[in-house]
Amino acid sequence: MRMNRRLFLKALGVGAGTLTLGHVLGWGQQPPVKIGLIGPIDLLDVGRAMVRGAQLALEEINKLVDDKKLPPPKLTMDGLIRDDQVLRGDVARAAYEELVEKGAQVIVGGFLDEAVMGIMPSLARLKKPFVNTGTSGKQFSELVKSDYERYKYYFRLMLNSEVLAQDTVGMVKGLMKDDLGVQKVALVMEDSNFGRDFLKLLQERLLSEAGVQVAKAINFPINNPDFNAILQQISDPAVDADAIIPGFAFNPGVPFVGQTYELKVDLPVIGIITEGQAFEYWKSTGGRVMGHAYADAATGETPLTPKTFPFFQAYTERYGGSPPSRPLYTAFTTYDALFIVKEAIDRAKGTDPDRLVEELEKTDYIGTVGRVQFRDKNDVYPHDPKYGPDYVVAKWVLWTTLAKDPLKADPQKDPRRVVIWPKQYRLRADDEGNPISIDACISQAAMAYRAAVEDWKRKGKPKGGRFEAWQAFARSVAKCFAGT
Amino acid sequence: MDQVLIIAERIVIYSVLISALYALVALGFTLIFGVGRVLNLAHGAFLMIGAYTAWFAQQYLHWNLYSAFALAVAICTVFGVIFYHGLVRHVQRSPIVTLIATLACALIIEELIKIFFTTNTQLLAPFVSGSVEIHKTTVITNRIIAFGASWLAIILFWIFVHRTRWGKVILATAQDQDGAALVGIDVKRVYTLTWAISGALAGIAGFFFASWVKLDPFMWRDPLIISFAIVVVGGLGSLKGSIVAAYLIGLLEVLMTYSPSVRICAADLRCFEFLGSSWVGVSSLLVLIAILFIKPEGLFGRAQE
Amino acid sequence: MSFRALKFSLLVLTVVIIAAAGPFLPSKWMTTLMYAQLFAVYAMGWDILSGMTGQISFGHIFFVAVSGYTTGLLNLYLKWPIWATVPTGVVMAVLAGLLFSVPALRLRGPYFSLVTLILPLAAARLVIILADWTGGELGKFGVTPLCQDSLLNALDGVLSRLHISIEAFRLYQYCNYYVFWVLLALVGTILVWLSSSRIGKILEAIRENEEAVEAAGINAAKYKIFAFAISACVVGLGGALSVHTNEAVFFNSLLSLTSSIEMIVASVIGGMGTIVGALWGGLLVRGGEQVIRELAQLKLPIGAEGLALSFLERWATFIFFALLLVLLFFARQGLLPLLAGLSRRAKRGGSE
Repeated sequence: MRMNRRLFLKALGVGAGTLTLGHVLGWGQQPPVKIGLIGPIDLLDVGRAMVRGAQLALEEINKLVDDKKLPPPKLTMDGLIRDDQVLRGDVARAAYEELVEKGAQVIVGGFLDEAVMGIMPSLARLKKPFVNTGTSGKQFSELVKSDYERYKYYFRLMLNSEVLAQDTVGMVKGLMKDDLGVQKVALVMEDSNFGRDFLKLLQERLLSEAGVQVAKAINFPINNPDFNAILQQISDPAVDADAIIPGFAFNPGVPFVGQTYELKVDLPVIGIITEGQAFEYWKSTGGRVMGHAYADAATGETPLTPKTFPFFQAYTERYGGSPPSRPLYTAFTTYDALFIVKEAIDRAKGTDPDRLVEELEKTDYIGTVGRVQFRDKNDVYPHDPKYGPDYVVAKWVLWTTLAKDPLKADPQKDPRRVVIWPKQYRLRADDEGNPISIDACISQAAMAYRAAVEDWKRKGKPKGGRFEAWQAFARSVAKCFAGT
Repeated sequence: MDQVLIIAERIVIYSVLISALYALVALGFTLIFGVGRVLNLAHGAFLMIGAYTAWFAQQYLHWNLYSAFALAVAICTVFGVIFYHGLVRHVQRSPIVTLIATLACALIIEELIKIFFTTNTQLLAPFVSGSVEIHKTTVITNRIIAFGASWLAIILFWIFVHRTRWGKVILATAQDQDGAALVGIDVKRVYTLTWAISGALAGIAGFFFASWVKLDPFMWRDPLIISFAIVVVGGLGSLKGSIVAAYLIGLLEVLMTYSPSVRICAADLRCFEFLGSSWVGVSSLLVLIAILFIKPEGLFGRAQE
Repeated sequence: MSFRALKFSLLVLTVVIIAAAGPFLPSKWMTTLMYAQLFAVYAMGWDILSGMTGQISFGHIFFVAVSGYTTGLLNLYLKWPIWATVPTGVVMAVLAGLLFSVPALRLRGPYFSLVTLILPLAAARLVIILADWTGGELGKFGVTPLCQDSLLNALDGVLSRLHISIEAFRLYQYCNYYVFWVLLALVGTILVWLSSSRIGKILEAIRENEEAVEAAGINAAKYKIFAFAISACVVGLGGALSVHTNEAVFFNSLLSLTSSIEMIVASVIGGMGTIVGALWGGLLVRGGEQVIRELAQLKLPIGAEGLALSFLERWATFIFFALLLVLLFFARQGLLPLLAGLSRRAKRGGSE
C-alpha cells in the first residue's frame, strides 16, 4: 500500500521532495529492514571486528535516514547476531536458517571456510543473500560459477586467494624488484590449501611475470611451527636469497616472527600472514614484527578513500580500549557491506531476493577499502569484488615505529602501520584526514636501503648487516609517515 | 660432499637440542605413570599453566624473567599436588574414569585460558636474545639454554631418585605399591611427592616449550601427544626408555625437515608429496602406531602383566 | 520392569517424541536436532564398543572420516549415486574397524586408548597431504544432496494429492530430519537389542573380567572384533549420510578430535554401556549447546568496553566440562542408571 502511494506520488512528478513530506506525515515510516550477522564473534578478534564494523555502519546509515540524506527504510540487527563457533558448519547452518526465520533479509559475515560452506545448502534454498566479509577461499565463487541460478545469492567483499597471489606477483615486481633491488626470493609457505596454491602460483609466475627467481621454496606442516632449521636453510649463502615471502593463513606467524628476529635473518619479510593484520600483533610478538610487511585490506590510518580515515577515527574512539583496538580487515569489509546492502535495498525498492541480487550485481560503491563492483556471472569468480588499481587491491602494510627500541615500545601508542605498496596508496593523513602523498619519501628510503645492501655485499655480507639496513628502512618509512 | 656434511651437522645439532626438550616434556608424564599407574591427560595442560603463569608475571606484573620462571615452577608444583588430592586420588581406581577426568580438566584449563587471555597467539620473551654459531650452524641462544636446563633437570631428577632416601621410596612404590605399603611406606605421601615433582618438571618444560615456539590456549595438545609418543615408544614408566625415545622422535622430525620429497602425480595432475617437510609430525605418528603393533610394551617397557 | 524393558520403553518413548516434535519445531531447531540425532548415533556407536567392553576409544571420529571421505569422494569423482556411495562408505568403515581390531586386541587399557587417539591425527595429516583429492582442510563441495530436488518434488506430489501443502524449504528440512530419525530409531533398536542379548552380556562380562570370560570357554577376541565391526558400521553410516546432508566433505566435521571426545562425554552423561543413555547424552550435548547459545544472545548496541557477551556464552564450554567432572564424581554411572535406580527405589517404596 505504502509503496503504491509513493509510486503514485512519484508518477505525479513530485519526486524526492514528497518523500520528505511523506516522512514528516508519517507515510515513510517503513519498518527497518532486518540484517543478520554470522561470525566467530566470541572467540576471535576478526569476529568482534565484524560486529563493531556493522554497529558503526548501522548507526551511520540510520542517522543518514533520520537526516533525510538517505531514503528509508532503516536497517536493524537487533537479536540477529549469531556465533558460528569458528569451525562449525552445522552451527552456522542452523544460525542462517534461524536468522531467515526471524526475518533477516540479508546476512553478512563468515570467517572460516568450513562455517561459510555449511551455510550454502540452506542459502541455495532460502535465497536470502549472504555477503561474505571474511573468507578468501576461491571455491565459493567457483560454486556460483558452477550453478549460477542456485548460488547467485552469495556475494563477497574479500579478494580471493588466487587474486591475492596475483597481487603478490605485482608487488614483487614493483616493490621488491624495482624499488628494493630484490633478485631472488625464498618462499616459506604453510602446508594448507592456501599455502600450497600460493606457492604453486608464485613458482609458476614470479620469474616470467616479475623477473624474480625463486631461490628456495619450503612447505611446512601447520602443527610444527619451528623455524630455526627452515630459516637457516633459506639464509644459506648458497641459496643467496634477497627476501622472504611467507604465506600463512591458518598457522600463527608469531613463532616465525619471533625466530626471524632472534636469528637476525638477513632477509626482509614481505608476504601474507593473516594474523599479522591485527594491531595487537605488535604486542603478541613483543615488537619483533618491526620491519615485516603483510598484505591487508586497509589500515585506517592511511586515507585510501575519503571514507577510510573517518571510519578509523570513529572506530578507535569507540573501541580503542579493548582488542581489536584498531579496525581489523573484517571491520572494514562488514562496514562497507552494510552500505552496499542499503544501497541495493533502496534501488530494489524492497527486499525481494532476486531483485536484491540484481541490484547487488549493479553495485558501484566507494567504500573504505576501495571502489567495490562485483564481477558478473561470466567472470571466472562471479560475485567476487573486481580487482585492479581502480577497484580493490591488496595493500602491503609495513610494521614500523619511531621508538628507538621496538622491543621496548609502547604496544598501544608506538606501532605504525604504513602502506608501502601500491604506490598510489603511499599516503598519510593530515590533521583533517586529507591524504598527502609520501611516495617520494618512501622511494628515497628504498634507495638508501639499496645502497646499504650494496655496501653490505661489498663488505662480504657480515651477519646481521642487511637486517639492520632493513630496520633502518622501516624507521625511515615511519618518519615519512609522521611527516618529519 | 661438503654440503652433505653441513646438513648432517645441522641435523645432529637441531635434533639433539629439540630432543632434550621433548625428554623433559615427557619426564613428568612417565613419572606419574611409572609410580601411580595414572595416565595424566592433563599433563600438557600443566605445561600450559606454567607457560601462561610466566607470561602473565612478565606482561602484567612486570616481573623479570627469572622470578617469572620461578613463579611458574612454583605454581605448577602446587597445582600438581592440588590436582592429585582434589581429583586424581578419588578416581584413580578406575583407569577409564581417570582418563576422562584428566582430559576434562585439560579442556577446562584450555577454556579458562581462552576466557581470560583470548585465543591470540603470544610469544614468551627468551632468557637471552639473539643467536650463536656452532661451527656452521646458527642456533637461537635460548634453545641452548633450554637444552642445558632440560638436561640439568633430568640429571637432578635422576640423582634424586637413585641417590636419596625419598627417591628410593618412590622407586620402591613404583615397583610394588602393596609391598611398599606393607613395609610401612606412606603411599599417599609418596604420590603427593611425585605429583609435586611432575608439576615442577612440567613448569620448567612449559616455560621452555613456550619460549621455543609460542603460547596459545591449544598449546597443551602437542606436548601431550609428544609425551604419549615418547612414553609409548620408550615403554610406559621407563625413564631411560623415555630419553632414548625422545631422541629417536626428535631425530625423525628433524630428518623429515631436511629430507627431499618425492612428488607423486596421478594422470589428472593431482599430486602429493611423499616425505619431506610436510611429513614432520605424521612420520612420528606412523612410527608410533607401528611400534605399538609390533612391540606394544615399548622399547624398554616391562612386559604387560 | 526389567532394565531391558526399561531401556526399550525409554528408546521407544524418545523416538516417538522426536518424531512427533518435528512439525512443531522452528527451522533452526530442526537443523540442530537433525545434527543432534546424527551425533546421538555416533555416541551410541561409541558406546557399543567402548562403553560395553571398557576399551576406551579416543578417536572414533576416525571411522566417520573413513566412511565420509569414501562416500564423498566416490560421489564427487566417480559420480556414484547415494545408494551406492553410502553402503560403500559403510563397508570401508567396517573394513577399517576389522583391520584395526585384530592388532588392537593385543593392546589393553591405556595402550589401546593411545592408538585410537593417534589414528585420527595421522589420518588428518594424510588428508592434508592428499589435499589435491580430498580438498585438504577446506573440504570439497558439490556432493549430491541427501534430499534431492526430484525426491522432494515427488514428495510434494504425494502430499498435494492428500491436500497437504508444505513450503519447499520446510519439506527439505522434514526430509533431512526424518532420514536421520529413521537412522536413529533403527540404530537405537538394533543396538539396544544387541546390548541386552547374550552378546551384550558377554561384552559386559569382558569389561568386568576378561580372564573369567576366557575361562568360561568363550572366545572373547571374537566378541570384541564383532563389537568393533558393529561400532564402525554404525558410526560410518552416520558419517556417510552426514556428507550427503552437508553436500560436502568437511575436514573438521569428519576429523575433529573434539567430536571424538564429545562422544565420550555424551556416553558418560547418559550412562556408559546403556546405549539409550548414550542416545540421550548425544541429544543433550548438541541440544544443550544450542540452548546455551539461545540464552546468551548478543544485544546491540555494543558499548565501548567491547562485546558485552553474557556470562553464560563466555563460560558455556567451561560449564559443560565442569558438569562432566561433577558427574564423574557423583553420578559415575550416568543419568540412565541413576533414573533406573530411582524408579526401582520408588517402586519398592510404593509396595511397602
